[in-house]
Order: sequence, then structure tokens, then C-alpha cells
Amino acid sequence: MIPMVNPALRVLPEIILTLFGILVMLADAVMAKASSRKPLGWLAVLGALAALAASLWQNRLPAGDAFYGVVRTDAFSVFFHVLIAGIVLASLLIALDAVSDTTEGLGELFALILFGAVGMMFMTSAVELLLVFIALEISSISTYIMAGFRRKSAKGPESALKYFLLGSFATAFFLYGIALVFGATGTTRIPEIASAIAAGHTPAIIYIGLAMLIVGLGFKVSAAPFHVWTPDVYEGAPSPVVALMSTAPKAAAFAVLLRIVYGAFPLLHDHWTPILWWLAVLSMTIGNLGALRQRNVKRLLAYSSIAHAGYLLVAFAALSADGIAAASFYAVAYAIMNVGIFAVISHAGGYEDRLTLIDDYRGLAWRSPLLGGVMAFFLISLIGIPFTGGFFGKFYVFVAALHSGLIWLAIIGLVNSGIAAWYYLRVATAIYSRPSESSPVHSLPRPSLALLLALVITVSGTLILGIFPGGVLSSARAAAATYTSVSPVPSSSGTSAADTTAQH
Amino acid sequence: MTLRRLVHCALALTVAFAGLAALYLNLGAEFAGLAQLLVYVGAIAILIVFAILLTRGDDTAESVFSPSGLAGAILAAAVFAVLAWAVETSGIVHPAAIPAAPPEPMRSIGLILMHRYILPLEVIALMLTAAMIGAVILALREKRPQPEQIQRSSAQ
Repeated sequence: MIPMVNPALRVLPEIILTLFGILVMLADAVMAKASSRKPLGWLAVLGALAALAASLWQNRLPAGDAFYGVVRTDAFSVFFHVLIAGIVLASLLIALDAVSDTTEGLGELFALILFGAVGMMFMTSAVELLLVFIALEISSISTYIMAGFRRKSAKGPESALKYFLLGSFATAFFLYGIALVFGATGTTRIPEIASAIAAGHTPAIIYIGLAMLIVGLGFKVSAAPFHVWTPDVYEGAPSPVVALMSTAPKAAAFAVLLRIVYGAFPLLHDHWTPILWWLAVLSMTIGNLGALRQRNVKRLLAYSSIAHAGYLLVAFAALSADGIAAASFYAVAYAIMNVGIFAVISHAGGYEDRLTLIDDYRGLAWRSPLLGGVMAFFLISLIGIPFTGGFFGKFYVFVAALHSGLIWLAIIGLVNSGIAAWYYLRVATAIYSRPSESSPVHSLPRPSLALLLALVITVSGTLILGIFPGGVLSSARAAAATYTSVSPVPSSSGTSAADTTAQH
Repeated sequence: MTLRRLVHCALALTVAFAGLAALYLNLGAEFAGLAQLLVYVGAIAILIVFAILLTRGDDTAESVFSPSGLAGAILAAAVFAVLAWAVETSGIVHPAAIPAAPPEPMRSIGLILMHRYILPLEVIALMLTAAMIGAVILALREKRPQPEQIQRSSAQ
């Protein structure tokens, strides 16, 4: 018998973020027109901290459903809640550093970051596809708007428009997928879908529905071949926003993908593992080969994020509890280092992106040893060199792949890591080479308290993951253990029965 | 799609909306049908016509039968064929998907919204808030409002 828990506690981080978002908007409305909006950012930081604390606290709740089986808090949802709250916290600090008092729409920017975070958190805790869809929309709408926040440059609106059009297309796929799955199984609850499939309800439309769900989510995580929007959007969006949208919505979408394939369709794994296998190979290869040709740092990192999505999908295809744990761990490692590198880019380039090309970063370490060193550190982590989070991320992923017999996938992944090292090192050498006389010298603003905090969080996070990965890994294992039905043997009926009893 | 004038396209879309409403009514979903009629035919169609009126979208002179248009048509036909095949071969769908029409459809819709789907309902409010903020920001930031973007964001 599961003890009764107040349902509101199961959505506590979401409630906190919503309240702080509304508070930011109200405060924005009553503040004098000329006054600085930065205090609102600190208010939002406070909200993110409170949500982080609430997410950690949720670990003490017994796992279970709330609101008529629509949301579920378990080790898995808490894991991703903490990750998302952390990313939002760091991104808010980066935004606070990058913006000036005269930046337009700051109150709305901070509020949208918080609202978007609510959507992403719901994505990770929802076990009802309808709520997943709404949460996905909240997260997407906020990011569409934030992508176009720099109205003065032509790239901003272009980026927002591209993101919006392709994003709604992908959302339509996702929604159609839900509709087809509902048609096949008569339910939109993830555990009930699993039991309906176990009971033999597998008409042809369920495969098409599953494929459409994967297409929709593949877009959101920018896996190839659904990646074309990524470089343009990252180039046009303000850097602090990119720090957020290249990590948090992706982590949330990966969580949804994990929930859907392992929670709802574990019995159809014969059909979705090949799809994910190909997505992984394409993402890694296209991402890394695309990055080789880039001269713009943000576009380069966009392609690198496509490649990293590919590494993550390798862990998905591994089809084991280790694979889920590796995917969750990789999501954390990737998020921390990517947010970190965008913290540096956002500070050096500013809200208006003064530095764009790799050549612009030439000699960064000479002008600011701190920034240059930190950026080189994150590049090393992105390559996956030991003592950084990136190393253990890749290590666990490939080990999981090898254990599941996916030798070719692991080999392709390792070759890709080799290719990736080349372009990351190209940026790193540019940072440490002496600035040429002809290159224009941009004055670097002094690092603010907010930036230093963000850097401390991300650098220490990457180091901890690289030296003591045990803590995060055991949480990731606990998260993976919520899917007891991952073994290829059709033993999931036990869990789905437990799921259905848990909701009553 | 084949009409040259934007207004005609909008009117054609309205007819399509009305046709969908008729389909819903035929299936015995009075509430969905009437809502479709009120919201889409009544409001969205008017909004689109207004958006066209305000933006004075110039009519495109290019022919609609371009190679890319043809490729799109073939692709659409292929997708339709696959979907139609899938739905056809699926035969009888899961019985739970075709519940008997309840005696009081409005009442049961209200009950299910206030019980099982209470959380999604609340969360939709947040989504609409975010969408509204976005529409206002995109429209008001520059002094010149852009109805196209308002409509696009609110259509979400």
C-alpha cells in the first residue's frame, strides 16, 4: 500500500517555477520604466534555486502517480528535474551576465525561461501522452520566442521563424503519432499502452504512430536527419538562450524518448532499436563532418550538439538498464559542459554576438587567462579526455553499447570521437595562439559575479563528473531501475500490472 | 492550393473547416462538431481573412505547378497511401477506442476535464500564457505591429 502523498507535492518544482515566473512578470509590470531589470533576473535565479531544492527534496517522496495517473515522481523524473533546474539556474546566471540594463524585454525573457522550464520538467514526469504533448509545446513555444529575442539583427527573427516552422511541423508529427497510438491501444497513458501491447493490440497503425513519435522527438533533440534547423537557430539566438536551449529541452526530450520507448513500447523493441541505431549513426557522422567545415563557433557547436545527440542515442539503442543509465549520465555531462562553454561565449561575445568566427577567438587566453582556460577546459571535456565529465559520459555509453553487442555502433562512435577531436582542438589552438596584429581587438568586459557563479557551477560539475562519477552514476542507475521491463524477454506484464494498481 | 488569390485560399480553408465539422457531427460528436464550427469557421477563419486584409499580401504570380510542388504532391500522395493502408489493415481498432456515446456528452466531457485531465487543463493555461507573451513581444517590440506574427503565435 502506497502512503497517500498530497498530489501538489508531486508537482512542487513546477508550481514553484510557475509562481516565480508570474512574480517576475508582475514585478516587471510595476517597476519604473527606466529602472534596471536585472533584479528580476536574480528573482528568477532564486526561483530556480527553490525549484532545484524542491526537486532534490522529491527524492524522499515514495515513487507514485498523482492527478489521476497523469504525472509520476520516481527516481527517473527526479533525476531529470534536478538536471533541468540546474541548467536553468546556470543559464539565468549567464543571461544576467550577458545582458545590459538597456536590453529590451528582459522581464519577459526571465519569465519565459522559467515557464519553459516548467514545460521541460513536466515532460520528464508526465506518464500521459497528452500532458507530454502540452509540456512539449510549452517548452517549444518559450524557446521559439527566446530564439528571436535579438530583433535588431536580421539573424534573430530568421532563426525564430525557422525554428517555429520546422518545430510546429515536428510537433504535428508527434501529435499524429499520439493519435495513431490512441487509435491502436485506446489509451494515451504510457503504462496502459505497454499493457495493451502486451495484450496483443498491435495493428499496423501502432508502428506508424511509434515512428511518428520518434520523428517528432528526433527533431526536438536535433538528431540527424531532423537536424537542419540547429545551426541557423543557434547562430541567430542570443548565446545565453542557446546555452539553455541546446541542453535543457534536449535533456527533457531525451527523457520523453526514454519513457516512450522503454515505458510504452518495450515489447516492440525489435522495431525501434534499428531506427535509433540509424539515427545515432547519422547524427554522429553528419554532426561531426558538418562541424569540420564550420568557421563560426556557434555553428560549430551546433553541429557538435547534433553529434552529441548521436552518442546519446547509441546508449538508447543498447537496450539495457546500463544503456538508460549511460544515456542519463551522458545527458548530465553534455549539459554541464555545453552550458559552460556557452557561458564563456556569451561573456566574450556579449548578448549581441560580437565574436562569431573561430579567428575572432584567436588569443582569447592571452587577453583573459581565466576565460581562455575555462573554454579550453570545456573543449577538452567535449572531446572526452579523462578527468572531465565528457570522458565518463562517452565511456559509459560505449561500454553499454559493447555489452549489448553493438560492436559496429561503438566503432563508428569511436571513429567519430576522433574526428570531433580535430575541430575542437582547432578552436582550442586558436584560443591559445598569439593574437595577430591585424585582427581587431575587442575589449572583454570584466566577468561579473553571475558569470563567475555560472562558471564555478559548470567547471566544478564537469570536474566532479570526471573524477568522482560514482554519485551521479548511481542516481542514473536508480533512474534506470524504474524501467524493469528493459530486458528483451517479455516480462513487462508484471510491471505494467503494478503500474495500473499504483494509480488506483 | 491551386487558387491564385490568397482570399480565395482562405475561403477554401473555411469550407474545409466546415466539412470537418460536418464529419464530427456525422460521427455523433456533437460537442466537437459545434466547437469546430464556432471556433474554426466562426473565429479562426475571420482572423485569417483579417490578417490577409491587414497585410495586403500580394498575390503570387508564379505557377503552382512547379517541380517542387509536384514533388510535394507525390510525397503527400505516398504518405496518404501508407496511412490509408495502415488504417485499413488495422481492421477493427481497439474496442476501447470506440466507446458508446454517453447520454450526456457535455456532462461527461466536463467531468473528465475536471477529473482525469485536470492537470493537463491547468497546464494548458500556462502554455497559452507563454504563447501570449510571445505574441505580444514579437508584435510590440518594433513600433510597427506585425499581424502575421501575432496570428502565427496565437494559432498555436
